[in-house]
Amino acid sequence: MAAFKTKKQKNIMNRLISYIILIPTSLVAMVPFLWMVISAFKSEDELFTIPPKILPSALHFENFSYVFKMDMMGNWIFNTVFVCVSTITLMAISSVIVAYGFARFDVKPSNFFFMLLLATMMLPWAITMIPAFVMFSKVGWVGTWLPLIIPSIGGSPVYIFMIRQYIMTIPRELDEAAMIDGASSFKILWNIIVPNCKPIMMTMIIFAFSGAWGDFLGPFIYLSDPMTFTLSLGINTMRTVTGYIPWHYMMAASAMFAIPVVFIYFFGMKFFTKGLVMSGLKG
Amino acid sequence: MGFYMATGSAVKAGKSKSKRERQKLLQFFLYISPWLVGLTLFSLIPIVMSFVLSFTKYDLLSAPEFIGLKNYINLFTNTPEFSKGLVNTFYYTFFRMLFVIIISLFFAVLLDQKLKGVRVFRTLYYLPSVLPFISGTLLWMYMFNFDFGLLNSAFGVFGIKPIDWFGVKNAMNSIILMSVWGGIGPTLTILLAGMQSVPTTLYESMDLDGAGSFKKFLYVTLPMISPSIFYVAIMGVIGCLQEFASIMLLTEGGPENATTTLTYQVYQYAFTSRTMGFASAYSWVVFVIILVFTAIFFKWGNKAVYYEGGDK
Repeated sequence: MAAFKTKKQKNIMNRLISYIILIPTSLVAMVPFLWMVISAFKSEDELFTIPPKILPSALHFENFSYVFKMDMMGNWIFNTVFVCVSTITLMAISSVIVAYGFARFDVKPSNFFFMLLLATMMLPWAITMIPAFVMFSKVGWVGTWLPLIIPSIGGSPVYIFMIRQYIMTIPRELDEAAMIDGASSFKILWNIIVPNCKPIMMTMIIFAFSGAWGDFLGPFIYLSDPMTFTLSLGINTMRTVTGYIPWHYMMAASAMFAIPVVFIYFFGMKFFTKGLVMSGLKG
Repeated sequence: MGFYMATGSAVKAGKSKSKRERQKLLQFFLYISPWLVGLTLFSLIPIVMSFVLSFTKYDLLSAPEFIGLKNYINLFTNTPEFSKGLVNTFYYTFFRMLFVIIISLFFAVLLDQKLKGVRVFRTLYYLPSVLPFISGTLLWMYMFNFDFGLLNSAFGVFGIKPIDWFGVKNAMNSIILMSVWGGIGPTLTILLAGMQSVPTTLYESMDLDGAGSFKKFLYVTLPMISPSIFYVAIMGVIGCLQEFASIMLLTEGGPENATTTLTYQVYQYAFTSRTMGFASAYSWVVFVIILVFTAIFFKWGNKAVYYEGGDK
């Protein structure tokens, strides 16, 4: 009987089975996420009822306003935005300059340095964590945002690689035409390469943003004064400062903290996917 | 006369060509200099510094004191939690990567069809990995709670006894569960992109041979996307071997060192007890372990990975 199934029937069966697997599993993947949002709207009592109620009896928006009114929330928001913006700006400028060097100047040592760049992608940070801290403490930067921001002046190997691959697809004729008109290489970078790199720069910025926004370890190692904390650390203090853990507030804070990155992901999904794929390409 | 003129201009051209080459070289280094400076300041110098510090006793306040190989000897003979950390690190890395890759492969195959709503599913699987680290960790801390966490409450509904997620037996598995949940999105996306670039003609020729979908997966998809698998595996392993932030927040390495990892111990020796010299020696051992692993991986990968065009 099975042997008589037409190809079309088989196709429909395949689809049906796929949906039977995809729908429940994607829901399972979403459950923790949804649970965070639901819990953020619950009153504290509702969190502890047994058996648990899935939905809150009323939407407790005051959880969110509580988080916003926390003592240093204003500082934390400002600090996070400041660190993010400076990191990304430095990272973007440096990465595109370096990528241009790798893409357009085919000199002999270029290959060697490019290989070195790819190798440093795999450099474990566990080895640099301690000496970097020693170094930054010697120059008096521990406790400031500088150790979080300044290392971006070197760009990031992944972004340099991504942008370099992209620049290679921009026709060289454009450069050459400008060169005949007497443009310097920097002018070519600024007037031709950068404007043509907009999509890949978007990708890079989206990636760098979600990395910098959620960064925990960097601030955790270098910052100690709560006034200087970023949101990651600030939200964490909600559970460490007193023994009591206000889960409903913490879920509200966690959910709000996620909004910018989730928003950016939806907004730039095609860039996100492209960036991931690009970073996974071989050189 | 004509002869002289010809050679003259050739010499001149050669000279200006080499001059142009030199200028190009200079420009190349100028443009990559931000990266070179960053690499030197924040990677190369620190690595050398870490090596030097690993032979000293150093607490950041007084000057480092040279003590020879003592730190290394101490680490291998007198640090009982080292072996525990080693075992845990490998356990975490192995199972985390195994689950992430198998689950991602499975869903990538399902999503690599002409189905309605593929993008929606892709987004749903990806979303967990978008969460900022602290949000995800706090969320799981809450869900793992013994008394009122979602997992135990849900089990209670089905009459299953509550599980002590952070007990000695389960703690590491709980951390793996959390990180698999957050790790599938990017892996799935990269593998799916790999699958979508497999030429359909390869599948069509398998169709002619009457091969089933599992055979197609085994003989076409898998070899064709092996470079992508290799990439996610190697980057994942390097990351996993250094994992400690989630452990620090969820269990602090406990209970009874059940979740302590190598890098977490490095972190503790450096930043909790301020034994910077010992911690540096420890981090060098971790570094070497990662290097050896990466090298083995590459060697094995060169044999197992299929690169189109036969290029190694």
